[in-house]
Amino acid sequence: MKDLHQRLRPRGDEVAAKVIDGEAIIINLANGIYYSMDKVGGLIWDMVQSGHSLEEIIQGVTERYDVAREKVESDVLELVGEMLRENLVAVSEDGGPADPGSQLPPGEKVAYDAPKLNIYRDMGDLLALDPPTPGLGDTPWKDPGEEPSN
Amino acid sequence: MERSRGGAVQLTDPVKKMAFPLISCIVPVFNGERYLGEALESIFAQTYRPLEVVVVDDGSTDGTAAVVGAHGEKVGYLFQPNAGVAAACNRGVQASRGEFIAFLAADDLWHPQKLVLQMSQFQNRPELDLCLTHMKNFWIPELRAEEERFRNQPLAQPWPGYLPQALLARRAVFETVGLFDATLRYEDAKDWFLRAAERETVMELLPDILVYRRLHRANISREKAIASPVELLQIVKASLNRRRRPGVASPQFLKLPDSGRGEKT
Repeated sequence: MKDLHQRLRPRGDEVAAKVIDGEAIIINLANGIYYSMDKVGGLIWDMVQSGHSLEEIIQGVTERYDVAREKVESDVLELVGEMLRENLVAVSEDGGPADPGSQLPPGEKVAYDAPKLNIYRDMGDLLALDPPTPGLGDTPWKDPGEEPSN
Repeated sequence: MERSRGGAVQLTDPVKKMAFPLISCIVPVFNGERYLGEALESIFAQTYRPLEVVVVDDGSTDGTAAVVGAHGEKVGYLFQPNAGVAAACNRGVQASRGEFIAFLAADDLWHPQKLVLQMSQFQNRPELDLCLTHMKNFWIPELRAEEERFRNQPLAQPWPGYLPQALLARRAVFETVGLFDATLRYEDAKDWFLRAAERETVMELLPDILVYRRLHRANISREKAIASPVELLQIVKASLNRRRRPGVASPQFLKLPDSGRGEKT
């Protein structure tokens, strides 16, 4: 993936994700594999979710961290490749956010650690939807006239 | 109803018959008058004894109490203001006295050999802390069209039951792992099993389908299916945080019994 103007989007139908306390937690609901990325990785995921292009992400990381752009570009491309291989993101056809810089308040540069996608394949049977049901949307799930029972 | 194994199961050692431990069967229920009677019958149909049955009524306003009352002294009854299924399960654990604990949702059914097959695992493996079974959904007759639609899909296939209704656990496990987190609305069971795995609890997963989950119009799982997965993400984050705490023996990667499903993508 060389075109830095491309944007990614989380695969929202099967992938649940949220940045909590700076750490991105990502779960593939179809197979229960879960992922974490902290610090730089958390920022990158946040920017991916907000619709930023790869170029904007690389710039954002370079502005915030004490690191050369070339290093960030290489790390981001490697990370993105892994996220694509793990089926967590897809290339997006949508435009970016209205204000690409709004996620990045200026501040002192901090020490850089290369982002890492931690992969956990240990709890698949527990964390996959029980049972895995990607087609949930087809179901007339709720009858408002009835109370849920335990 | 399917029978996953033919014939009755004999526990291994007849000498131990006098020492069969008491299993407390805890049934949390909220407005469950429609199916509760069938759930209780599936407990009484168990081939294992001795059993203690405790219904925890989580603030029902329907005829739940009357269904329990019809069973007389065979069923213990506790009432609490509505506090959720996790709180009801916890109340049952605290109020019961069995050396082993099992749960049954008020709209689900156990296979008659559920408990005897699980207990035989504890006899074979004294180190075992908890035993799970596979589960399968069944649909109420009014939802036949939905059943047809999902006939060949995962919703109609058996799956490893990481849910209380598929669990038989030593009471001592609740002392080490703790109770269910009653602040969680949907993911209290997954949170509990995560904590159990962090403690390296010894688990067994039976290949047999011994729990049948009834799909009707008001399952909590339907509500969960359309709810945001934020709670799931939060319990995974909390688990990772616990595993990283200094001085904690919990491993980075946890271990579950092999279900034979492998990794699905």
